[in-house]
Amino acid sequence: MSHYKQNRHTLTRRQVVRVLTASAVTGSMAAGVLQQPLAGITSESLRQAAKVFGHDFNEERLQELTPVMDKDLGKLQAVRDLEIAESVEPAIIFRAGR
Amino acid sequence: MVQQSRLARLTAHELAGLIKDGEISPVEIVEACLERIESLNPSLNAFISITRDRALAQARKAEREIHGGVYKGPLHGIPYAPKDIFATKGIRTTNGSKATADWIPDFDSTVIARLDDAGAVMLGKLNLHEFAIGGGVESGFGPARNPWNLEYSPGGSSSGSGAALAAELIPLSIGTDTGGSVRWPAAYSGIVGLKPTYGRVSRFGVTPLSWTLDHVGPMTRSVVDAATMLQVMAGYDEKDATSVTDAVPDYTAALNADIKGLRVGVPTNFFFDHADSQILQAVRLAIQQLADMGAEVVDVEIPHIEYASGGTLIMRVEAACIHQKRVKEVPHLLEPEVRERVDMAHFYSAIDYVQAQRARTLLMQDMKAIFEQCDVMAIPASPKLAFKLEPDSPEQNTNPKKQGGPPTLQHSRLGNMTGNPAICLPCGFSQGAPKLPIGIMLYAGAFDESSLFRVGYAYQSATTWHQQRPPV
Repeated sequence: MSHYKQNRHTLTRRQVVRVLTASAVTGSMAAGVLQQPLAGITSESLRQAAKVFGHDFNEERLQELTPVMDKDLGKLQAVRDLEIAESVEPAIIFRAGR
Repeated sequence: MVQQSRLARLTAHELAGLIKDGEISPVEIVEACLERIESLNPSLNAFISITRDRALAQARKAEREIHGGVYKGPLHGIPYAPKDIFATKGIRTTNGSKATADWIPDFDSTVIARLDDAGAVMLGKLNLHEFAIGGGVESGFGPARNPWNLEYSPGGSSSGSGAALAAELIPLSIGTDTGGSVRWPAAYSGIVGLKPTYGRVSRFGVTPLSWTLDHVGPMTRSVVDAATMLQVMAGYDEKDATSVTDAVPDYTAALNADIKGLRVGVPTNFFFDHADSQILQAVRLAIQQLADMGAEVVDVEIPHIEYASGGTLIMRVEAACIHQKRVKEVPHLLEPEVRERVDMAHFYSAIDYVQAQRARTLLMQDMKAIFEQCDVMAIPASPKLAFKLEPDSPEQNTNPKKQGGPPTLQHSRLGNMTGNPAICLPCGFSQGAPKLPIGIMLYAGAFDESSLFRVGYAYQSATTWHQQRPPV
């Protein structure tokens, strides 16, 4: 049984490829579509987020990170979607007394 | 009398017997290893530094001590080399990075100090994925290569350790394991790798990657040698806040090859669902071998195995805390993977991190329940064979770090998430060309490394996979 929620709102790249294939969108047109951020992440949205946590990425770095973060979002969402009871505490292990 | 050219190829256990009986000198062994390193390292790139003069001086000291009647035990006079992420006093410690290529620590990590006290002789420092943050490909010193086929990775991040042991340059090594970095090289290179229980071996003086996931473990060519090394490495260290005070058992007492009645758990979910067919076949045969020797095979299930994916998030966030200053100040000295992972972690929230740590609690509960039903749990060490370092096309890139497939990573990451000990042993080879090793991984209950040694020793007593060597 999967422990992930079934009602995800983001599409995986594989799902998009499947839709494109079914729609007979192929070749360079499909490649163009696939280069678009699937989860709507743009370098601008990363720039805005970075402002919140106080980090200053330059434009070149933001361009590099955008597709990587876009690809990573599905995995991150999977962690966010884990169903965990309120009674479960984090397993951070630190020893007092040092 | 053993020929000097054969000395480098013996296990530490075999060498110790010859040393103790006065048949061979540590100096002869070290010279034999150094000769083999000088001959093969140019093609394998396993060593970043070779400490020839220091090693010979240490070997001569050991020789004098033993001749004088001071025999320190089974590692006295035995050569080894650590992954170059362990601080070594007066010897550069690069972490596999150009950013720290000239760092010369003024202290020894605890594990290095313990091996030194036991009389082991360090021959140099071994290659690794930069800061241990990946599968062995990106090193500031170029990738180490797999002796079974130089076009393939020996696994990582302890890549140099895997390559050097498989090629018989050294009999012993130590690695670090944050998501499988001791066990992947063991699987891909056809050697033995042990990740002990979290807290069992001190991490003081080891450049951290992720405080709550990092482990230190022995890498060897036999289970006997792994047990011998852990005996020396394990134990409380006040310099490591996570080190436990529990007494260290006599691991050699577990090496008796009797596994009658021992329960081997085989998961019914996940681990056997996505492995290559030849890997499945080899691992199933290995489990059958254990059953033939008297073990009882029982079904087990890990309900929350998918939650192990949170380990990537934990690792990246903690690694970002460790490396963010370096990424900001000297990005030009870092390989792309370190920069990418550290930068990505900035976009994870505190809630994401705690959520992943809560997922970890569930996995720990799963493992506790499993080891009430069995003594060890057997799975494929990796669902895939070693990957090509320079794939012909991106589609052929089977590097699990690049593929990012949780199924591959979660075989090993489970142990980092829960802290349970795990050992990886060779259990076969791929059919056809290239001939690449296949490994089986055994997990045990917390602090029960003895059961791993017991089963591993029994398996190696009945099989010869661990004795096969690559064509170098």
